[in-house]
Amino acid sequence: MTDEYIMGLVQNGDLGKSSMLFKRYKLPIYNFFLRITYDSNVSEDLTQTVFERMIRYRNSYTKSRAFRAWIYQIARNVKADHYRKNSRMYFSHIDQEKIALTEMPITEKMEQREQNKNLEQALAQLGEEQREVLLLTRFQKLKYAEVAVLMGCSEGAIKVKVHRAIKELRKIYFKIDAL
Amino acid sequence: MKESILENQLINYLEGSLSEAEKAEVENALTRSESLQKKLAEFKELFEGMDQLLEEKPSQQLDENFYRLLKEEQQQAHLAKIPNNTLKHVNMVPNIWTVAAAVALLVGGLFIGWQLSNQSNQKVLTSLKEEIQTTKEMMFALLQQESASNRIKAINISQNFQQVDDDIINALIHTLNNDQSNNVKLAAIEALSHFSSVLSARKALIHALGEQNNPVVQIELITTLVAIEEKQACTGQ
Repeated sequence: MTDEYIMGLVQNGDLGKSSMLFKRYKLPIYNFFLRITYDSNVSEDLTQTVFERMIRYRNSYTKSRAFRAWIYQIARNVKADHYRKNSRMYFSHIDQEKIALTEMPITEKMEQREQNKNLEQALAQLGEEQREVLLLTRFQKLKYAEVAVLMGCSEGAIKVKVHRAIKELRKIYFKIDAL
Repeated sequence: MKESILENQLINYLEGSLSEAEKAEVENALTRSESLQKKLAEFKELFEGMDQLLEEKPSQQLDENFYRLLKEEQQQAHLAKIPNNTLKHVNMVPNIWTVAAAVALLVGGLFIGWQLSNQSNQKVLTSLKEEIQTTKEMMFALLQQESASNRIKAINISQNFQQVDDDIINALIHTLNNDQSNNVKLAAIEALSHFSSVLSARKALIHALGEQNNPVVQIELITTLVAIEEKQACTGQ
């Protein structure tokens, strides 16, 4: 069953089906917030809010739109509301200690673990807007056109942002590795 | 080619968004430059790294909170029986809320009770009728309150009565004609529009148009009456 089909069922009153969407999107959305806020408690709260709104505002979803794009719009609105309440627009500096990532599983190879850690740290040093476009396009696999709608600018502008972010990430990451 | 343009092309190349001709151009440039090859390898490493970043897991709390929320929403949807749940927006005294919530259930139950007519159901019917009477009394009590917002809450309760009820309609009409607050009057107009199938409700609205002075209230009356007129025209009532 596609996301869109399930959401249609939820709109028609079968609220129980929303748990299928919860299972599918719980991890991606949690990780999206985690790499924006670097706070696991806040990320859980924000994730919960996203699914609350998904159910309560179910009638605002139109089937012609990709469900994935709709739910990430909700996620971005939740993020904006959170910042408004906490009076912070962007993290200008991420405290490295705050990267509240859990222990990686023991089966992970040491090299992979090290690389992941470096990449997470490099990502954390990106400006928030750059990190966000990267998260949306490369992690959440949204298309440039979808992200353009989300962020209210042209597809071309998003592409430019993503490319700049990748170039910036490269500069940061490979300097770390070289240490 | 400028450095930054080349880098963009490398990224495009990895994203697979280049045409065959453009791809060939990039591959050509790569064969001629070791530093470009190195850059490509670095971008590739980043892409692969991003693809492999582990998904962190949230705590059990998230699941628990979600399923609790789902249960609440399912209960509310069942009790309210109306598309946009006005109950949720009412910030009420708890016992009145639970009674009002029970009303919708009871009204549904009452209807079923009327369909069956054996003795044991008579008992159920009687107690249901009593409960509805209690709710109505509470609603009327709220309508007498000094606070306009409480009176509006009372009117919102009335919208949960699916069965046409003369007592309620009369209370709404009385509120429309006599309330001090224009906001309460507006709420009464809206509530009455839901009972537009009842003659006394329609008549009251028309009558009020001649009586009410406040332009906002007048406009609301006109809009409501037009909507009712249209509805009647469509259904041929």
